[in-house]
Amino acid sequence: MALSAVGCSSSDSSDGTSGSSGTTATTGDAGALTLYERLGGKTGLESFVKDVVETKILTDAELKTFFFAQVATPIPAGSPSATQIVVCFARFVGSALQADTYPGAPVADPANTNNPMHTCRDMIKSHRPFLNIGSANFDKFIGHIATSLMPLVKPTATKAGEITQAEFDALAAALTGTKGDIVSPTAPASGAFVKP
Amino acid sequence: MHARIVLASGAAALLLTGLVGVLHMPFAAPLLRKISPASLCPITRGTPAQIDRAHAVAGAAIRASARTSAPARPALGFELDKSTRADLDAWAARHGVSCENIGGNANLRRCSDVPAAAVGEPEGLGALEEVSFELRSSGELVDVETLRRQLTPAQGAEAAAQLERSVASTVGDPTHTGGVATAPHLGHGFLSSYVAEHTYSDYRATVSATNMGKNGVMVREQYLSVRP
Repeated sequence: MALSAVGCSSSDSSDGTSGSSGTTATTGDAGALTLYERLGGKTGLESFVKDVVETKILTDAELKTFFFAQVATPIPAGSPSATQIVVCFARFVGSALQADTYPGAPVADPANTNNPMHTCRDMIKSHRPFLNIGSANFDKFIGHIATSLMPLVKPTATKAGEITQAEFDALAAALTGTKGDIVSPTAPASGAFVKP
Repeated sequence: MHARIVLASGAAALLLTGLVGVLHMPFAAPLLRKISPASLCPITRGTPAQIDRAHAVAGAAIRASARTSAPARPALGFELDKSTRADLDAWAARHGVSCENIGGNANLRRCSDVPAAAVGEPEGLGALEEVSFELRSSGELVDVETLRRQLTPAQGAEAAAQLERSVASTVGDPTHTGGVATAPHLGHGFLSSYVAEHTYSDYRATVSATNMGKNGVMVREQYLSVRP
């Protein structure tokens, strides 16, 4: 969910493919480096997502409950590991920026013994049937993403790790566009993960 | 007559318990979903070990980016790594605050509609929609979080600035910031944010404000122990 913001998930097809209709500027007014490059490319995006999940989401008393499967041993059958989620997020964003392919090849994680090869899923399939996410929890989640992205905003973004306010605004708009795909209409607005 | 009532009540309770047990078996899940709103089910959604594990993963990641230990570890009047569930319950009773377990997990607690004074904050900042806590399975408090929502950009900016000044007065300047705590910045648009983090090898304090559109500005604080 985290870096779906960078893409345009509302344009995803339901078969899990995406990417050709990304609307976020790849260069914008930020000079020669593309946005994908300034976000660190594949490695940088994966690092960003990992950091948001580990240092923000897993410290949130409510949101962490949605990630208990990822800290279980073994991880329950059908659930991706944190590593696999991170790769999928980064790939999704890269695809929306027309710099990667989604869903791409299955993501390997031998540590996830029940699901060592995970195929990335689209926003609806990866959230609604399993997570029962409510509106207030979605808001908290994207709030964490926003406060993680905000320090990257610079008046003129030309280097790695920098984005412009206009790019931030585009990401914010794309983020809110994912709400319909991710939030379950029948889920309680806030509170811990409750199996649907 | 009395004995028959007791016997019947006991049998009914036993039958009900058995039925609830059966309904929670995997094959009965679809039926359970149909007849019971998920939010009402009291079954625990995680284990104390999973809560500890999530905290440990987060703590390790935060410590990796820190250089020194915190000069102080304020947590709204609570003592990280010392306060216990009994302390939280006593605090709630003292202030007439209502609290509940999060998702049936006794180590995750959320208290609603908390007066600012209950956590030592100025009344002018308004009541807190939520104050949440996490305890280790060994019983010590490791996390205190607050949430205010539906604020105007001006209210959000003032609250975030005041709360951050309070943290900085005991912990020092933030180690990491983004955005500014002003009404024009927070009012700029959806997700416009201010954040100040004080990250140390044993503690992190965070104050943030985020424009959530029609839900107003959301202001959050977090006081987290990251000791191993």
